[in-house]
Amino acid sequence: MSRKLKSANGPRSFSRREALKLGLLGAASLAIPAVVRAEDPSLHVASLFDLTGNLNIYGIQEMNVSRYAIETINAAGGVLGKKLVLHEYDTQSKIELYSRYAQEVGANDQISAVVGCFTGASREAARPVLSRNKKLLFFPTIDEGGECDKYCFMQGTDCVQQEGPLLDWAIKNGGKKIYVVAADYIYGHVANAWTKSLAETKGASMVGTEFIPLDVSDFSATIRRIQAAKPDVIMSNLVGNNHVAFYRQFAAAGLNKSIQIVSPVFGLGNEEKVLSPAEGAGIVVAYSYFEGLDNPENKAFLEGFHKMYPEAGAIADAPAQVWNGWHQWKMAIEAAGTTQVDKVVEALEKGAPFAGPAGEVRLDPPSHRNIQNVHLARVTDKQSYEIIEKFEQVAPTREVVGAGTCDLTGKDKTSRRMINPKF
Amino acid sequence: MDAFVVIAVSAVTAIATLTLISTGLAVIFGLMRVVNMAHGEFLMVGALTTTSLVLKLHVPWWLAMIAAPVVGAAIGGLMEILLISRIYQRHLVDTLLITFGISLIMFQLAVDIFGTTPPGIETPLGALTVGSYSFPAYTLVLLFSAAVMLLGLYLLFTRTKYGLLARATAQNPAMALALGVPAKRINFFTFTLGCALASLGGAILAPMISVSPSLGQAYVGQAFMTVVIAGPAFISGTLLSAILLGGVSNALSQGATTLWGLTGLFAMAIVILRFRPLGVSASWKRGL
Amino acid sequence: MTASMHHDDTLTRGLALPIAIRSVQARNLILFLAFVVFLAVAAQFVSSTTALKLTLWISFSICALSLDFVWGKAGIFSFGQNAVFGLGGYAYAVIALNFFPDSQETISALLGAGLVGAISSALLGYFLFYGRLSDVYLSIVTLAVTLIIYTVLASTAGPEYHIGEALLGGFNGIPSLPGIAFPTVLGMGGTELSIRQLLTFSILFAAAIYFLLQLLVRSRFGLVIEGLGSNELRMELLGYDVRRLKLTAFTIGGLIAGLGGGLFAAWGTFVNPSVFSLAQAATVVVWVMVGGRGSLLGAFVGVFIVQSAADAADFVVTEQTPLLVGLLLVGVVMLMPDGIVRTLARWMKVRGNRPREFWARRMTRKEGHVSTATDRRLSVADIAKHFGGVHVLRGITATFGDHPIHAIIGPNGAGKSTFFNILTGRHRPDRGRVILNGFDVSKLPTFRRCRQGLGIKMQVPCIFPDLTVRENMQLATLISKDAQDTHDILQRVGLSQRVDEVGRNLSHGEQQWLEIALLLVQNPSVLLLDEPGAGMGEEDKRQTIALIHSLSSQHTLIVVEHDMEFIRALSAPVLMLHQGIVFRSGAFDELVRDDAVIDAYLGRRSHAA
Repeated sequence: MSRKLKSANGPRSFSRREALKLGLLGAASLAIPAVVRAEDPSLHVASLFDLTGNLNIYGIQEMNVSRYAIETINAAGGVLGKKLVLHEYDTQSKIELYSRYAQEVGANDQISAVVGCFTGASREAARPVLSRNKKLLFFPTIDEGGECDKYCFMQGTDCVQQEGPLLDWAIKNGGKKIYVVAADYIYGHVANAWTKSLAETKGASMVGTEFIPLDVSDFSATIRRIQAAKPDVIMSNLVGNNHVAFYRQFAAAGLNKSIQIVSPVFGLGNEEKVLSPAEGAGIVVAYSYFEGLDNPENKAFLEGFHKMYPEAGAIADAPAQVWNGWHQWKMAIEAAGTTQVDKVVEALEKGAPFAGPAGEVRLDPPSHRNIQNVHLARVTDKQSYEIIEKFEQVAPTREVVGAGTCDLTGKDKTSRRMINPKF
Repeated sequence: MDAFVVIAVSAVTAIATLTLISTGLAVIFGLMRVVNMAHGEFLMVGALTTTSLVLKLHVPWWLAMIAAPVVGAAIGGLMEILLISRIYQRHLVDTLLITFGISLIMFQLAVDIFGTTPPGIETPLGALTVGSYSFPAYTLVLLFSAAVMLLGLYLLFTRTKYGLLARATAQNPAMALALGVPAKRINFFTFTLGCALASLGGAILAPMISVSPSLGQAYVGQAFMTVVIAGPAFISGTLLSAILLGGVSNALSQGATTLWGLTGLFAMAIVILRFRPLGVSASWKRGL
Repeated sequence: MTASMHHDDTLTRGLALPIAIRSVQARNLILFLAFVVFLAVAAQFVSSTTALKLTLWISFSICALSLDFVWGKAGIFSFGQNAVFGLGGYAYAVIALNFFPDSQETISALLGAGLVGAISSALLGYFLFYGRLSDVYLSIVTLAVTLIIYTVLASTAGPEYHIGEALLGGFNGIPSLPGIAFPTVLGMGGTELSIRQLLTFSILFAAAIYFLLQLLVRSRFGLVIEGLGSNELRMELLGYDVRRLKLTAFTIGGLIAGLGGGLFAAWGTFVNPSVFSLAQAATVVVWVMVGGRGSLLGAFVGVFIVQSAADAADFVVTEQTPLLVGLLLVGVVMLMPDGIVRTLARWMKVRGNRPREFWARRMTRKEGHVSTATDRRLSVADIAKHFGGVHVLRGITATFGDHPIHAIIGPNGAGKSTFFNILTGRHRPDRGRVILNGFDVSKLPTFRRCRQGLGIKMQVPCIFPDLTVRENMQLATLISKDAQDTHDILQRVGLSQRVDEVGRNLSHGEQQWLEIALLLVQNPSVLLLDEPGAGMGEEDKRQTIALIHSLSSQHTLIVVEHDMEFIRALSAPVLMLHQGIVFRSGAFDELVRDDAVIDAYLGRRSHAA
């Protein structure tokens, strides 16, 4: 309900009263010539994450990394000789607050870029508002595709980047008969469409598909159908607390010994910790970033982070993408020499490589998504991940399921919308 | 044939699950007419007690399940003494609001203590195989416990002095008081019993589901639906209601999709309520 | 009779009063308008953060207002007000997405949201009220409906679920909605309002809704709605179609909630199924509870107190909002069940006039109208009724009206109260007919029988405890085809000095008299009295008997009574029920000499009367 600006945690933050003053000044500032304001010695940016509410298990860590990234950039001299000031917004796991704070950021002339949002729904609440006000948005979560907005950059992997490697591995190590269980919402449907088309091209067959409403936790009918279909591999796109019961009941029926589960979303809800070691062991997942990656960038990244947040827990894929987002933005500003938004977008679209903790990332200009490494990992019997395979420089798709393509450097040069996938 | 057995087991499991989540509410709402909106949180208390005992203290799962209702009863008893006992005479809406407030408090306290996604326990007892199918052997424990719970409750309310007094107090508090029934103590005991049963239900379900503080919210709607449809005969009515709702929803889940199962559950509930607004057992002469 | 000694002028003063009222009325109106204008202007000077927050709160307040009306005024406790609010939001989204690109305005979408709210409430209300769901069942069903809507809308992820241009989007909801935009008139409008403009608009919008609702509440219809909230049974017994009234009130509530939902969607420029969550449904109740049900202003106060408390709590202990809301709810219900506004007012001894008095509804009165019902006969033929396997009535035939007073007696379990309920229409007989003044009313519901001239006096006083004596009487005359002079009636029952007293402040005896006055003013042809002597002292009983005798010249009275002394004093023909049949009938003195009668009573009781 309220905007929270914690002075204790942020490297630079400002108080509520200042926010009020800023707002009041905002009205007056229309009259002040731009030249006067240009003397501001700092650059303002914002992050919208859930620091409270039921999604804060993701949001807190993302905000931590966001602060860490800003701090690191400032420690190295800032951008264009200016220090960055991070405006933190706690969206409290409430979707309406995304749109509300987006309006606030939109009305704030100083802020030029945002790294934030967690769910696709929260992004769609905030993005149109930000885009309308010419603020850049870097979105760190994996997603199903369809975003086609000149001012929006998708940091996370898409379905093709995750499911392609997963299916390659599954076909090689499990078999060609694939059964899909997916959550009954947009992501689940789009992911399923991709599974289907990828499976076809890779010569595998789909022996069953099932969509599960988000509030279902009795999977006995599903498990019976799976046994009737006798698949080699299960592609799970189940999400949320209720759906964790699927893995539990699947294991209880003794099926985890004979059927391989692969999933591009397992782990987003701490599933590997919620399940017992025996239940989770053997499930194979795909993300760009895992804490266990062995490379110098990741080592430095983790070291610095743990120095700043010794108490914070593990870093998942999304927080690592927050890091990439801020750095890619910084590189673009330096290349453009200005924060003028269209120039920055132009610079970003040059696709300069950045060496992130998961390896090199590079923007694919037409899709505004990153070409990046994807790693496959298996859940161990100690509720952790072991990396089993690395796919280098996997390209995102420019296609939107059932609705054509997005080409932000060509036909969609001025697009500011989400293309709704059709499935 | 083997498919048929597995489907039958699954259908009976759905019915048993509904019974387990609603029995406590059947006592508190069905018998006492107290709208306990915190019922779901008592399910959660039972489930979290079980998982914590198993994971932290390495208590055997069955022992942890027996311990769970004790915790539920303690919280429920305290709640009765401090709040509920003071508002029996007031409008039903007041009870509803109070218990809703309590449910929010319990939810938040659970989040503070256990976090939003605490670890769960795996399903014990392994799998049973029928032909080319296998299913969790633990589902038989669900069936068995649901049956024992209903039977025990039936015996308690028909064969004991307490049962008689509790029914008398619920039906006509003024008369019961006039006859010298210690209504206050009876009410306390009945309410506590309901909370304990809810916790027991949650405890028994715990190894089959993902246990988290939001568990209560996931089940409370279905529990209320079952009990409201049950009507005045709070034991046999609840069983019939669970059979109707669970059976229909499971049949649709099996035959069509899980979404249809869920939709069917709601549709069935609405149809029954339209034609039997007081529940399926409204016209039964007597009985529990 | 206790006719008041001196002539009371409270009612006749009516002519002088309106002028005074108008000036008070005008002053209040001006104050209200000034306050609204002040807020609307001040809105331009707050920060955008504050403006966004306040706009949200206002949209919540409109939702709370609708529950306040439905629950506080009409007495219908619904958990579904929030669902209607959400449906309003979806309606706004769908209409705006379809028409905004061409029309460049969203006012139609906002109004459409209200319309959709009204329609969905009407549908839900029809199901609830005509299915005769009451009280707790009603609240649980509304809660279930909320959850069903949540489930249904959360599963509309596919592209096949769209209404025109608007994809419902399942769990993700509908993003990218246009904000509030006025149609282009005289070169103005056509663009979406800025954050502060939206706040100003919201203030005016909410003020307009509040003002119109106040007018409604203070109208005659408002009185009827309050009667409904105060005592539903009495409303029915006066001849009001309670179910239709409830449906109307519920629909109005739906209209308001829908408008609020539209504003909410316009504020957030998006809508998703989370508005249908359980927690949100409860929060609406918390707002109304805290503000105080029944005081319309309380809706706003409640939202502002609860939301700012939640905000403030976030600064002290983070992320404990549910805990705080829970504690607030428990605290308010336990300690100040009337809500903060009323409790504070009581503590500060602000005894202000009941607001309604400013707008004084004109008294319906017909000068010196006294009429006598011509046809005054109630008869039953072969009435039978069973419950489960128990045959309570086994064929009762009787006629009332040959004599001005009739008494019905019988030992416990004889079927007296079942018979009474069949006469009133509460129970339908298995067979047999009930004839009132020559019309077969067997199938008519209670309120229709009452309109046909049946007056029913309950055992415990059944009046409107929250309304003044004057308002009680107004409710009775409003619906009556043959209203008598209120003044006369009140004098007859000795209440003419107490017209401005609230029902609950009357003594038990006075409440009994008021109920009788409610009946008399409608001039019923047949009066059913259920144990009129119950709970009365000797003096009251004597007066009651005298009243019954005096009434018998204009009405047929049927008295169901335990008290043998009371029956004796009535000196009326007696009908004695026993084991579901008419056991004996005749004069009281004959009956008490009949050994069979004494045995029937002795069979159940330790001593005969």
